[in-house]
Amino acid sequence: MISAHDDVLRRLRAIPKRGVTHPGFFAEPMPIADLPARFTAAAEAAGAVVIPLHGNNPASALALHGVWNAAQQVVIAGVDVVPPSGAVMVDLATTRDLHDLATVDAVVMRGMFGVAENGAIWLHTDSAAVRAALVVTQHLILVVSASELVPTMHQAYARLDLRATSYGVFISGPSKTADIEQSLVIGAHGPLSLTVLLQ
Amino acid sequence: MLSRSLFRSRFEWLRMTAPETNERTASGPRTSDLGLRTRIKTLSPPVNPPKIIDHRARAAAFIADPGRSQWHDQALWFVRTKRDKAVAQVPEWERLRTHAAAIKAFVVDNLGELLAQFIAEATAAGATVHIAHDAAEHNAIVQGILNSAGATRVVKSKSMLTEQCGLNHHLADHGVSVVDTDLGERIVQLAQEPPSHIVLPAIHRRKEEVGALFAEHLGTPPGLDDPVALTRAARAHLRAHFLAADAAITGVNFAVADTGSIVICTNEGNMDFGTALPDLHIACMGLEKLVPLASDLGVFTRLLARSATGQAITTYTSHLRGPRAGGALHIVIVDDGRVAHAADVQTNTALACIRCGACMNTCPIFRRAGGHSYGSTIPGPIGIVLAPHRDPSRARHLPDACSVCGSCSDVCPVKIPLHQQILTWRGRLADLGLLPWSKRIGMRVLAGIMARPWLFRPLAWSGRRLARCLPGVLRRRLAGTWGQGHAVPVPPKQSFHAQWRARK
Repeated sequence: MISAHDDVLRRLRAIPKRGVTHPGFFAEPMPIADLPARFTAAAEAAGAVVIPLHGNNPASALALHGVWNAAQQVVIAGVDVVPPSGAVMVDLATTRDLHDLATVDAVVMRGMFGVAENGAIWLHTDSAAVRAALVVTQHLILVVSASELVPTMHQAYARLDLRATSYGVFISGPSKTADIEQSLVIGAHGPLSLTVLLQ
Repeated sequence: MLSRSLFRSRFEWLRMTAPETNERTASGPRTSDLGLRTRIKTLSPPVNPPKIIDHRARAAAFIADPGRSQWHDQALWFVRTKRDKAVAQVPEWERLRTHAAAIKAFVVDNLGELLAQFIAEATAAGATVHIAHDAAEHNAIVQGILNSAGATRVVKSKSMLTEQCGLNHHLADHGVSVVDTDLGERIVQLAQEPPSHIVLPAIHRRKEEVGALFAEHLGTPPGLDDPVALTRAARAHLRAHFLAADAAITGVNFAVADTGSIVICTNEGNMDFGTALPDLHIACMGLEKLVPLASDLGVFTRLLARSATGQAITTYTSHLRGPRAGGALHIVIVDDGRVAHAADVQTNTALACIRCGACMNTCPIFRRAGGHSYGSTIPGPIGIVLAPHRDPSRARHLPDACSVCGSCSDVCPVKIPLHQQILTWRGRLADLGLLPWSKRIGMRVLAGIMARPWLFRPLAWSGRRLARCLPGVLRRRLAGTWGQGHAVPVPPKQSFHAQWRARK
C-alpha cells in the first residue's frame, strides 16, 4: 500500500503548474530615522518597561529596579550583574529537572538585537534550561544594545540564520491576553513583566 | 436585557485596555444588572452539527439576545479599528499585502516541491514528520505518538486544525487528558463548546459567564467577574497543568521549507511554556502553512498581528527547528481536502489564509450573528469559502450569510478575493442542485418574468400599486425575510423605467 506521504506528494505534483515565480525580497521597507526612540515607543506600547542606560552599566540600573530587588530566585545569563541581596542565584548549567525553574522570580539575559517598528527583541538558545527559564520566570529583564536595532522585520530576518537555531524567539512585551471581553490583561502564562535595559 | 445607556457605559469600559484601569472595571455595572448570574447556558449548537448548517436559524438564536449581539458587534468593530490604526503606521501596507499574496501564490503553485523540501529539512534537523490524509488519520497518528511515549497529560496551545479534526474528543476517548491552554480556548473547553472565532475563541462570552465557569471549575469566588482577577486565576490553574504535563500539542503558523523551521505566534506564551518542560512536542499543521524562505517571514509577521488584533507583532514569535535538547519533536501534516483545493484554480487562493481573523472582525454578518452561526471550526467569510470544499451539501446555506459588501477582501492581509469566492460558491452550489426547491423554482420563475418586459411591466405595475395601498406592517410581510427588522418604504408612483424615459 502506498504511504500517505508518497500519495500526498504524488497528488500535489500532479497538479498542473501555472509557472508562478517567487516575488523575491521585499524592497524598501519604511525608513526609521530615530531607531532607539521608535523601538522604545513600540516596546512600551507592547507593555514593556524600557530603561535607557545612558552609558551606565546594567548592574546600576537593576540596583534601583523594584522587580529585581524583590526577587528571591534569579537567573543571570550573560549579563554582568550580581543577585539582589538575599536572593538565590539559580545556575542553569547545573539544573537537572527543568521543573525546578518554576520558582524563579526574575531572569536577566542579553537580547541579540531589537526591532524598532514593533519593539521585539530576538533571543536564541539551544539550551533547554534557558528556553524554559525565559517563559517560566515571573519577570523578565532583557539587555539590548541601542546600536543593535534594526528598523523592520525584513532587516531582522536578514540578520538571522534559522538553520543555526533550534529555538529562537522575538519577544515584544510581557505575556498578555485579551480573551475575556477584549480587555487587555498583562501577564498571561509567561512573564508578568518585561523590562528592557537599552544600553 | 441591557438598557441602552447601560450598554454604552459598558462599552466605554471595553475601550480601556490598559491594566491600570482595573479600578474602573471593578466599579462598573454589577453582574445582577445583566441578568447573567444564572449558571452558564450552552449558547452554541452541539459539537457535531446536523447534515445541513442552517445559518439563519443559528444566527437568529444568537441575535435573540440583542444585548449580546450588539456587544459582540461593537467588540469586534473595536478590534477592526485597532487594526486600522496599526495599518496606518505602515506606509507600505498595500505593497506588503501584494507581496504576501505573491509568495502564497508561489506556494500554492509549488506545494509538492515545498512540502518535500520541508520534510527533508525538518527531518535533518531531528524532527519526525508524519503525513495524514484526513482527520481520522491525523488523530490516530497523534494518539500513537502519545501512546508510545506513555503520555497521558497533554497541554495544547491554539490549533484550529486539531479543533477541526476533533482531536480532543478522540484523545479523551483513549485515556489522554488534553487541557487547552490559550485562555479563550480554555474558557470554551470548560463551557463544552467550540471556539466562535479563530483568534478570539470566547468572544461570544461575557465576563460574568466566564466568572461563573471559573467559579464552577476553578473554584474562584462566585460573582468574580474582573478580567484581571479571572486571568490570574487561569494563570495559576494552567501553570499547574503546564508543570504536570508529559506532552505538548501545538499548531503551526508558518513552516519554512528552506530551513525546516516551524514558527508559532502567541501573545500568552502558552506555546513556549507548554513545550518548554515536557520531552514530547507534537506540532499539527495543514500543508498550506508552508512558506519558501525565512525572509518571507518578514512579510508575514508584519501582516499577521496588525491584521488580527492591531498589535505590531505578537508577544512571542517563536522559531523551532528540530526538538529541544533531550526531547522529541513530531510534525503532523494534514491533507484533509487541501490537495484537491490546491488543484481548484478558481478558489485556491483561499489556501493563502494566514488565520488572522480580520475578515471576521469586519464582516457585518459575523459581528451580529456570532461565529457559532457558521457551524464550522473556521467561521466568517474565510469559513464560507473553505467549508463547501469539505462538504458542499452541509455548507449549502453559508454563502448566503454575506451581503457582498467586500469589506473582508479589503482587509485580508493576503488579498484573498473573499466576496468573489463567496459568489463563486453561490453559483457552484446552485449548479450542484443544492438550493432548496422554493428558491430553485422561485429563481426560475423570476428569471422568466424578468427576461420578458411584456410580462414584467404589468406585474411590476400591479405590485407597486398593491404595495402603495398596504399598511407598513403588511408591506414588510410582503418583503419576506428582507422585511424583518427593516423598514420597507412606500414604492414610488412611477417605475424606474418610466422615470428613465421621462428624463430622456
